[in-house]
Amino acid sequence: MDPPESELITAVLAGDRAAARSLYDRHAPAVYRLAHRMTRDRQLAEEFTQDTFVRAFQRLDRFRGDASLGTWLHAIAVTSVLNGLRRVRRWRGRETELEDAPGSSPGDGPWEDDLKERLRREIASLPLALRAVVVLHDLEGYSHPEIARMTGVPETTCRTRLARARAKLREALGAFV
Amino acid sequence: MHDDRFDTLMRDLADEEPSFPPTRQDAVWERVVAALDRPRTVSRSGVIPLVRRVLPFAAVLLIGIGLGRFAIPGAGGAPALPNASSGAPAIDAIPAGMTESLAFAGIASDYLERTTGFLITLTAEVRAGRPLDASMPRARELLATTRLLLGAGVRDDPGAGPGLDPALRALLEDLELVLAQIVRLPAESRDPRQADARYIAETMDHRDVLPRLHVFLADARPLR
Repeated sequence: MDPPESELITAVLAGDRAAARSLYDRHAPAVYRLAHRMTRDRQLAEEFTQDTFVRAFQRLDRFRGDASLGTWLHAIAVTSVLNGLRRVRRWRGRETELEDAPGSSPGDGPWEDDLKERLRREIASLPLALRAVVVLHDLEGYSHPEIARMTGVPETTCRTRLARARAKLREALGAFV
Repeated sequence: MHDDRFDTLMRDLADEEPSFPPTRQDAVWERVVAALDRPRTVSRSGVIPLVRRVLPFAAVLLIGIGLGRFAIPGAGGAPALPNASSGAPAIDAIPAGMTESLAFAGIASDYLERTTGFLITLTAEVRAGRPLDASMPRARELLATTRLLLGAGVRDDPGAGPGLDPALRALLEDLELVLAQIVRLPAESRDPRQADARYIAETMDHRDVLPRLHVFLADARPLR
């Protein structure tokens, strides 16, 4: 039977590398999934997963257990992705692909595309703040209070952002169905 | 689109899980371990040690950034000559107050952040097979700043005080190597399908450039 997470955390803090690996193996797929959903880029998702765990292990002594370790890791991942994407954006000539692109037009050939793929692309083209909320709430299943704690914005702002994100997505997809 | 249809689509998307291939999961773990095993030469607060590292070289760095922006054609769209509105620090415009240590640490932090962003993007460009021409002006600018930092760390007088922190020096030397490789890429080799461009990404992997930058950057973040 796998040891409880609290035991693993204590072991990691005592310098047990095998315990660190166990924690990593438990949570890395979910952190990677979140990063991939935010970036839609395998390479960047790996970078942000790595950054998340480096930062998490460096400050594990600050984990108080108020939320689950998974939620705490996701909060670090969200910060890592948002900061990282902003840095990447500064250097990419085609920033619009990442953040500011308007929704694709029906002229792009939607009938050849799968509607779900279209939705993925539309989510990826949302502004970062809206994208984070829609990924965390609608795809990862977090509640608004949890998202508010993760992103450091008021709960009402989260709700407003989610409504705006969904409206944008509906509008973008509206032309295709 | 009807709400029901939209909600169904979102649920379908939520059920899909981009998987983390086991080999990649192992590779990322190795990079995590490599980053954690590097000695942390900056304390948790990050402020004072980073200041100590960059303090002797900060003025040179400021000058370098100023010169870099003005001297490199096309770098960031900077004007050819300094002017009052450019926002870039010209040599004679460095105010005495800028010798405040937090300002120095902020500049170093900014340099590390800009370099990290550039290299993450560059690696992604290479792996995605996109041409690197657009990266050249930034690479030249960062290379010039890196060399100024390294040059500032060379002391003729051994009694003049400590040189660059060894970990920072090693990182800067590797950054210089990578940036020089990028700058020297002939135009025909800027296609990532060419071996030269792929070799740069491999150099970064072998020397763990990005994980080390992440560690320095994480240390510098409390400054913000």
